[in-house]
Amino acid sequence: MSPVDPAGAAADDTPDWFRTAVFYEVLVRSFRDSNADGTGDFRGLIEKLDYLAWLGVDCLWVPPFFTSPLRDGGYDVSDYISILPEAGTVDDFQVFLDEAHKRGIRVIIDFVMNHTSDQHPWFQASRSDPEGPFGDFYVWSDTDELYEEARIIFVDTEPSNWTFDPVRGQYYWHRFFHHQPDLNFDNPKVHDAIIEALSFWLDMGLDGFRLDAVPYLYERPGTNGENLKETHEFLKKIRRYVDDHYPGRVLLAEANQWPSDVVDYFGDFEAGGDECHMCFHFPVMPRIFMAVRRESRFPISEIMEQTPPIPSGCQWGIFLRNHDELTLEMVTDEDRDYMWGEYAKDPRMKANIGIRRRLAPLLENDTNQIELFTALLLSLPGSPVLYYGDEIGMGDNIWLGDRDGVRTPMQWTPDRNAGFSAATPGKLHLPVIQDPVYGYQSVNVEAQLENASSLLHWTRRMIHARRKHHAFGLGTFADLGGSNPSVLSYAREHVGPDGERDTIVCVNNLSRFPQPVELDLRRFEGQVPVELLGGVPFPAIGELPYLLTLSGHGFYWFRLTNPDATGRPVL
Amino acid sequence: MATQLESLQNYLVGARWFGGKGRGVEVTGFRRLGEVGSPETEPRVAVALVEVTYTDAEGGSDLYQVPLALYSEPEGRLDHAFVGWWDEDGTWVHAYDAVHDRAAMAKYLQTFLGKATAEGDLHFVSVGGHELEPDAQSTLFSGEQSNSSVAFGEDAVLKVFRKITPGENPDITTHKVLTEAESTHVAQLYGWVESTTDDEVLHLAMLQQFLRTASDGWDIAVASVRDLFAEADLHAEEVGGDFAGEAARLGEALCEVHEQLRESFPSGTAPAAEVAETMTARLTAAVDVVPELADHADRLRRTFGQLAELGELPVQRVHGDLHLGQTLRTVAGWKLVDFEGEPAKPLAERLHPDSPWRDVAGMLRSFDYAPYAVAESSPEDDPDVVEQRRHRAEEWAARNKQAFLHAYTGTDGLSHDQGVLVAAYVAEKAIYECVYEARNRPNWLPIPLAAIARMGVP
Repeated sequence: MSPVDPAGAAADDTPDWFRTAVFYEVLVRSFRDSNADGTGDFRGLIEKLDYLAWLGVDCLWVPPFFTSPLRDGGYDVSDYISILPEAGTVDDFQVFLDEAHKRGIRVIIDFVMNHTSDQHPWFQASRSDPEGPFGDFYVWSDTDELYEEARIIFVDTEPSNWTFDPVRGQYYWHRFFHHQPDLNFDNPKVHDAIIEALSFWLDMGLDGFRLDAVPYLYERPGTNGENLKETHEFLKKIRRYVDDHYPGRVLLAEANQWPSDVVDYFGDFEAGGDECHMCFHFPVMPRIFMAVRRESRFPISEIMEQTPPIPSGCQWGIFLRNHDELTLEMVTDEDRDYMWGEYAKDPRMKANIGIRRRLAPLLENDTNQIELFTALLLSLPGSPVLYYGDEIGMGDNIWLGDRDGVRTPMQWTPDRNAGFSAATPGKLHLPVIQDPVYGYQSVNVEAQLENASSLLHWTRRMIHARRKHHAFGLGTFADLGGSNPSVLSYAREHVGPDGERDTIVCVNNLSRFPQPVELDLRRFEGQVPVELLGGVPFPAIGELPYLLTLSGHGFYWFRLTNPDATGRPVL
Repeated sequence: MATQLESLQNYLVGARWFGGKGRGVEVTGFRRLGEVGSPETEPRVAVALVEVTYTDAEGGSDLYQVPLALYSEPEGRLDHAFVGWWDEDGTWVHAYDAVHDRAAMAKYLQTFLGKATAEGDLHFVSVGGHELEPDAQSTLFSGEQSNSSVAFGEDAVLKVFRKITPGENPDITTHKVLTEAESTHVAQLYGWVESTTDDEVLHLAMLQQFLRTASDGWDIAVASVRDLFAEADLHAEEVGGDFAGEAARLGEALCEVHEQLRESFPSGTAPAAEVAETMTARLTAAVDVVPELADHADRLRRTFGQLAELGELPVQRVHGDLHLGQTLRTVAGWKLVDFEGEPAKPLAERLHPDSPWRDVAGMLRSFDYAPYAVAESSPEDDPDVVEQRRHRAEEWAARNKQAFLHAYTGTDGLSHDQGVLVAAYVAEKAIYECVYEARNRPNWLPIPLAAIARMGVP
């Protein structure tokens, strides 16, 4: 990774950086508390940047930390250009950004543009002064019968997408919670205000944004208010602005839709993409869980087959877990998908999907499975997003309620508060995990750093192996099929600018039992697979099916080499 | 020096796909049907049709196809496929089985592409709009039993029929119809090779879409059972490897294929009484081979008797030999393969319209076999575990049969008539299995026998 200019000219040499990057989602309030107030902060995050650089991650994604009443985990922003006091100051953030850049680590942050908190001064001004400068910043109506075709997303808590405001005497529109009024994107002044806020952070050198809930920006009568063309036009406008003023910065869309609809958020195919650089590929995660549970490669193979090509300058983002578990309904709007039926029938899958869990407890702390899942995440098409703590196999606390259970403090040491904070334990914003299996006394960074065979060291080796091969990020994907339905195999191929071909073959045993597989590798005839982590050459590929055996939940990553390149003595 | 006839005889009796093994055979004739591609470029590729006559008491004769790659010099790389060498029009040729030879198979591909021509009475027919990959290399599949299949790259696969019966090959004609109907449940047909003899068509080879990433339905079912057996205390619907979703999708696929076949081929009805009579006659013959069947014969006759009362049965073109091993799971759903019909039957009979319930019964019996096959492959002495497995096996089979049937019929239960049909065709299939197992794999005889013992028992 090339050094990054803190002033933000980072990307000139590698505008494509995000296509090969490993992302790491870090919750600032749960990572490291520098001032013993019980809540993590940017000063604390700075202390841990060396750790993150050692781990090998390329870009941090920091979920919301803007000033907020915190009624929706910070996704209810009450000021776009200031920071929650407990997380630090804007100056702290600038230092954090500069220090990250010094270590070759980029930073993107969440930006919620669909709505604000009802505490935002814009909303307060809008409701009290309809004729004033902010009077038209939100979607107001005398009736609650407009846009009735738009579904209510939080059906459990919200009876309607409209809520009456007694101050202004009108209804206001909200696609999410009633305390999160939607901004009115038909008002050009809203565009200007949003762009101004984005610029505030980009001017500091920020490397990009994850744009939250992008499908819902506009509303139109007779539509469901999702994926409207006006929404795409606005995203194109943002993209042009970023490209003109801040080249190399990235926009990552959270559009929780089926891949064939999500691709629209990359923009024009021929132009290489003119909306968001990246979009999350939501169905991959449940499909991986499904495939291992079924011991069948088809759930993954199918979704890969159904994933349309994306513009040349774009990339998917994929993940196993994140801070905000997804409901399956959101990925299965399409009738053609059978996932919902399969999940709903399976009590264990259903339970796991409803509750927000971390990776390790979901996999019953089975090291082989955790490694297999991570290997899949790091080798399937897309840029992987790791979730903080999963690299050491952290657990969760289901008694904290479904959101906070996976947001407990990072476990650094076996000492008090897991080394997260010097505050008295009762002051911690969330308690550390204390159970006998996942508690910080047994699961922590310090202990795993000492142990070369720990999950942490293993994860690091995998990340470092991945970064040596652009095929993982940039390569094509070809499902290799194979004789065994429990074994998922694929080739990732990339031809570099120097004409050099990088071919990686990944073979994954989704079954708990040892399995043989015969692979059709004829197209690579004559090449020698070299296992990527150990460097051991395997027998050369011939005309016949290539036989491999795998241990339960085992996997291989091979790079394909020409026989003369392996350094074997030639007789 | 062996003559061409002797060479062919020696090669044939040693070939895996030769069906007359163990019988006294003599090659009594052969002829060249023609040549594939230009005779000017090496190798010449000549298609030989070999007549073998059986010298045992049963007698009779069969035709076998051997495509030959002819070289003027020995080709060491093809030693394993060496047929013989002989004098041909004054020059010596070294003959190899052409399916093993990339150079020879490339001539097939070029001929399908229209870039080369077939000489003699040999016709290459292309169908559909698929564009073949002209440079695809051929690879022979290993492990095939009765035919030889060659993949062209990742694009197409050529199935070379070995035993040739004059007349329409239902594998080709059924695939043709389903391809034209745009069925998503078969590999698309791209073309075939044919010749004629005594005014009858000889279907020699079939070119199809290569389902590169597919897995055999049997393998997936068996993986599911293994998962269940590993969880001693969980039920079939609770384990991760549950197959019921796939079983249901198989039912949907078969239903669609049957509909398309019904629309495209002649259909009609057959008197139920006659069908039942045939089944009863088979039962009587089977009891002679498998005496254990005698205990159940009355019950089975009642089952067939109920069938006899159904009046006229709808009949149509069917698969004829359907089981899990004839299904392939691909990323685009399930495909059914091998529409040759039941190989034991004469060709003419295989082309007759038959009841679609024959296919349904084949699948249902296959669901019964899968769990027992798994148990067989990991023997167990502990009687408790054996009993537990038996229980799980029944549970697994029942669950998947039900899922398959519900999806096939589109209802949650069978009508009275459907119930009678299923019972009769399943019984007939199980009787057939008893005879087959008694003759070939006596260890497996308890599987169909146990199924028969359960039939009709409340």
